Amino acid sequence: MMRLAQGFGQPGRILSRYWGMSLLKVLSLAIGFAAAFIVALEVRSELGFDRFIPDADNIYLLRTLYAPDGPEQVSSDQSPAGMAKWLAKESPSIDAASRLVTAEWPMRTPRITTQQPFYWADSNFFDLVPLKAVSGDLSHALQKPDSMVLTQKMARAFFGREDVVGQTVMLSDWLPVTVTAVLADFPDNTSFGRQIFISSEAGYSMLSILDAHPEWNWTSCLTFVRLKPGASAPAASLSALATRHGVSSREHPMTFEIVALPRVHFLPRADAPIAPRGHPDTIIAMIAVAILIVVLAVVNFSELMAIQIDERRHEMAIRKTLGAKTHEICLQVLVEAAILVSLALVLAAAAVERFLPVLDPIMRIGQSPWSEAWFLWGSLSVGFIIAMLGAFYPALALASVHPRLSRNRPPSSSGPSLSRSLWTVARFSLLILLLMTSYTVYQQWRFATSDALNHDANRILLLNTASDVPADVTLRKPLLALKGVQKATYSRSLPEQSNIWPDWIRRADGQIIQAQRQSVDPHFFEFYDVRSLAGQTFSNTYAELTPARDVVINRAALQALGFKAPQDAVGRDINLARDTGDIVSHVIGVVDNIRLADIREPAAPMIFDNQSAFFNRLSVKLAPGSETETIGQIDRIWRQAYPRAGPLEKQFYSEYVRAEYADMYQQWYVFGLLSVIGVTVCIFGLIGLSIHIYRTDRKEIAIRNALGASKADLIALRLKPYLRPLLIANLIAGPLAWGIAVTWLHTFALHVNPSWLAFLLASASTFLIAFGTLAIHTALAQPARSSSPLRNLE
Amino acid sequence: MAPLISLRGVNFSYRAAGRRVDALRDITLDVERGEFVSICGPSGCGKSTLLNIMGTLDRPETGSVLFHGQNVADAAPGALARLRAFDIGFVFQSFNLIDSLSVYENIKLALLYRHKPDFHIDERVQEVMDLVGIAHRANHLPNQLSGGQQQRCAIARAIVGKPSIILADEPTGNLDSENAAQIFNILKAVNAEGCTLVIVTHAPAQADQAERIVEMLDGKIQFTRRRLS
Ligand SMILES: Nc1ncnc2c1ncn2[C@@H]1O[C@H](COP(=O)(O)OP(=O)(O)OP(=O)(O)O)[C@@H](O)[C@H]1O
Ligand SMILES: [Mg+2]
Repeated sequence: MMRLAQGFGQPGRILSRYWGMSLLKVLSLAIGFAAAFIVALEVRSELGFDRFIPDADNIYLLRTLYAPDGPEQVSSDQSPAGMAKWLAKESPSIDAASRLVTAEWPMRTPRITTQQPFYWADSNFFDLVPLKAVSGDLSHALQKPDSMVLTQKMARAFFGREDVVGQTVMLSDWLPVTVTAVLADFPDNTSFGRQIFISSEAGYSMLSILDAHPEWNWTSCLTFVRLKPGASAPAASLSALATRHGVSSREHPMTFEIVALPRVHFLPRADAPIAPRGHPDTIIAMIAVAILIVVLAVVNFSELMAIQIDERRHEMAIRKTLGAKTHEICLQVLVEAAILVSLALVLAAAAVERFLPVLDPIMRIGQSPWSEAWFLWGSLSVGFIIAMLGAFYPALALASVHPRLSRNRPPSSSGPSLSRSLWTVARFSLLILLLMTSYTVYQQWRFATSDALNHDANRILLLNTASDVPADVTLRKPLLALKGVQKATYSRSLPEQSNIWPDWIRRADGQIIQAQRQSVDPHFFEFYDVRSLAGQTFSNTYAELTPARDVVINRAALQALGFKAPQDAVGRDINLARDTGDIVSHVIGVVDNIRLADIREPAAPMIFDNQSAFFNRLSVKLAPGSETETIGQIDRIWRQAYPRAGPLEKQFYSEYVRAEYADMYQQWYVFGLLSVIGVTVCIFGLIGLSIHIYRTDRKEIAIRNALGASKADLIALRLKPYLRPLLIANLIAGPLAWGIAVTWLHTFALHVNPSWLAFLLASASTFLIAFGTLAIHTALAQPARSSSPLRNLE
Repeated sequence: MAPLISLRGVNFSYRAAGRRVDALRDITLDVERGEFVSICGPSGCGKSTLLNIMGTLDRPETGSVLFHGQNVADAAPGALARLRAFDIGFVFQSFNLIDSLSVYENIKLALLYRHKPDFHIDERVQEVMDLVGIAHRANHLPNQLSGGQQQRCAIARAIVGKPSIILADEPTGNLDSENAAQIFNILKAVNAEGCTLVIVTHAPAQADQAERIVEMLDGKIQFTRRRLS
C-alpha cells in the first residue's frame, strides 16, 4: 500500500517539478486527440447518413439513369410516378413502395407566413420509412386528405410549441390542412431535407395529378421500396418493368437501380432533391490525416517523455545504486504517463464539446458529440491505449538504465539522434503535406465558387418566377426599368442544375445520345458570357407548346454528335427521339459549354431552344451598391404583378453555388483546421526538443559562450541539426503533396493547376515555422547568468 | 599605460531560495599586463565569482570593469563575445570540456569563434597539444581521459588562441601533486611568454609563486601583497 502511494505521489512531484514539459505534453496530446475526435465525429456523421431511421439498410431509393449504356451522363434520384405502383403490384421481390414529391407552397399559421418547401407523401409512406413520432399515430396520419405531418422543429416554427396535433395550417391561403402527427426532429445527417409531409390523397396534390396522367414519364417522384426478405431487385428486372409500361423505350432508354438509403449519400451528384453528397475519398483522406496527427502527437509525447528520462537518467542510476527495482521505476513512469494522457483526453473531449457549436454550421455534425456512450468511451479508450503505447518505450528505456552510468555521464550528443532525426523528418513531411493539400483544396474551392463561373455570382439574383403563376415573360421589362438592374434573362432552370430534362438524339449512325434540354431567351448567352462558336443564337422567344424547330447546341453536344468543327453542325437537322416519334430540329448555332457551378462532372451535352412556356428562372444582374434597395423594388413589382402568389422566391447565384459546394467548403474547412492543428503539434514538438537540447546542452552552450561564441553562433548551433531533416522532408513531401494535389484535382472536370509558387511558399513556411520556433526559444532561453552552468556541480 | 583589467567598486550578489548572497562587495583591483596574480581565500568567499566577472561571463551589479581601459560592464553581448574569443582564456576547476567533441576538436573550438583564422589552425592546435603533452590522445573523447589529461586539454584550449589573459579557477584542485605541478608549470611558462595569468588556488605553494597575491574573505579583498622576493 505504501509502495503504491509512493508510486502515485512521486509522479505528482515530478509533474509539478517539470510543469512546463508536462504542460507541453498534455497540450500536444490534447490537440492531437481533439483533431481525431473531430474527424471521428465527422466520419460517424457521414457514415451514419439516414441511419437514424430503423432498418434503413432495408429501405431503397429507386433511381433513374438516362444512359442507354456506357458511362452515365445524367442520373436522377427521382423516377417516373407510375413506377411505385407497378413495382408493388408486379415485381415479386418488392414488398412495398411509396413516393414523395417535392413542392414549395405558401403556408400560413397565426404565427408566421412563409414560402415553405415540403413533400407530398403517399399515405403508406411512414409504413415504409418508419420515422419516429412524438405525438399522433403515424400509421393513419396521412390517410385522409388535408392532413399534415411535421417535425418538432417545424411545429415550433409554425406554432411556437410542439403539441400541435389538430392544429391547422393554411396552404396557399385557401386550403386548411390539419396536423395529424409530430415527428421527432431529424438529425442533420439525413437525405430528407424537408420536414413537412402532406397527404397526397387530395385531388390537388401533385401525386394525384401525376397519377391521373400515367402517360407523363418524366422523373417526378422520390420512390422508396422495401424488398421482401431475402429478395433482390436486379436492374434488368426494373428496366423490363419500365419497358413493359412504356416508360422506357428504345428511343428514350431509361434504366433503374435501387440503392439502400444510407448509400445514397455517396453516389455521384444527381439532380437536386437529395443533396449534398458525401465523398468517400474525402472521408478516407480525413481519416488518414487524423491518424497522422495522432501518431505525431503520440510520438511527440513519447519523445518528450524520453527527453525527460534522458535528463533523469542520472537520477535513476543513482536510485538504482541505492536499490530501487526496475519495475518500480517503470511503474513510476507509466503512472506519470497515465495521468498526463487522461488529462489530455479530458481536455480534448471538453475542447471538442466547447468548440463544436462553432464548427458545426460548416461541418454539420449535428448531434451532441458524446450523445452515444459507446462513442465517448470508445474514443477515450482508444486514445488512452494509443498514448500509453507511446509511453512504453521511454518507460522501458528508463528502467534499463544501468547503475554504472552514474559514474560517468554518457556523451551528450550535440544534435538529435538518428531516430529523432527520422521523426523530425516525418513531422516536417506531414506539415508540408498538410499545408500544401489544404492550400490546394482552398484554391480549388475559390475557383469553383468564383473564378470558374466567369461572372460575379454575388450580383446575380435568381428569381423563381414559376411558383404558382403561369410562366410568362412579362416580368423582365419592368425589372429592367429599375435603376439597380443591369441585365435580365429568362431560362428554364439554368444556371441551376435542378429538374434536369433529358432529351434523346438519334445520331446519323443510329446511336442514341442523351442530352439536357434547356430553354433560354435571346439574352441568356450574353448574360452568362457563353461564347458563340458558330452560327447564330436566338432572336426571339415563342410560347407554343409544340417542340421547337430551331435549336442551339453546346460544345459537349457537338462532340457527342460526332461533329468535328462547330461550323459542321450549323444548318444540320438533328432527330430528337420522342414518345410520339422523331422530331426534327434544325441547328442554327453552336455555343461554348456554359460554366456552371458544377465542376466535378464534365459539361453535359445541352440542346437549347427558346420556348418560353418552360421559363422558370429569371436571372437578374444587379448594379453594385444598391442591392438591398433594388431587391425591395423587385419584391414590390412581383406583388403588384401576382398579388395572389406567395412571396417571390429568390436567391443569389453565389448562395446557390455555396450550397452546391457545401461539401467542398467542408473539406477545405476540415483540412484547414487539421493543418492548423498539425502546425501547432509540430511547434509543440519542436519546443519540446528545443527545451531538451537546451537542458542537455546547457553546459556545452555555456562553454561555447565562454570561448567567445556570439548569440548568433549559438542560435546557428541549435538550428543546424534541423537543416538536413527539413531539407529531406521537403524533398520527400513536396513531390508527394504535388502528386496528391494533382490526383485530387483531376477528379474534377474543371480545376485549377497547382502552382509552383504556392508549393515553394509552403516549403519556405516550414523553414520559417521550424527555425522561427527554435530561434525564438533559443533567444528567450539564455540563462540569466552565463556562468551558472559552468559551476563545478554536474 | 592602463592596466589590462581594472575593477572599480564591484558588487555582485546571488539570489537563491529567496535569499540574497552578497558574493562580492566593493571590489577594487587592477591586473597589469603580463602580471601573474593569484587569488586565495576560504571556500565560498567569492573567488570564482570574481573570476567570472573579470572574464565578462557575469556583469557586476554596481561598479565598473575596465578591459584595456574600456568599460565593459554594460558592453553589448556581441562585443563581450569578441573579447572572450580573442583576449580571454578560461581554465575551469571542473574542466568543462564538451563531451561530444574529441580532444582535438575541443581545443580547436577556441579558434573557431574568431571567425577569421589568424593562425594556421591545425598547426597551432598540434603545437599546444605537444606543449601540454596530450597529443597522443588527440582523438579521444573527454570522458575517455583521466582528470589530469582533461585539465591539460582544458589548458591547451585556453592558450591556443594566445589570449591576453588566462583566468584559471583552481586548475589543479582535482589533481594529484605530480600532475598539479606539471599543469602549474605549463601555466607559468605561458605567463613567462607574456600572457597575463590570474589563478585561483588553495595551494599556498602555488600562490606564493605569483607576483601578487590577493586574499579574499567574505566577498571582500582582505589584502593584497607582493611576492617576497
Ligand atoms: N548560483 C548561486 N546561487 C546562489 N548562491 C551562489 C551561487 N553561486 C555561488 N553562490 C554563493 O556565492 C558565494 C561565493 O561563491 P563562489 O563560488 O564565488 O566561492 P568560491 O570562493 O569560489 O568558493 P570555492 O573555493 O569553494 O570554489 C558562496 O557563498 C556561494 O554559496
Ligand atoms: Mg570556486
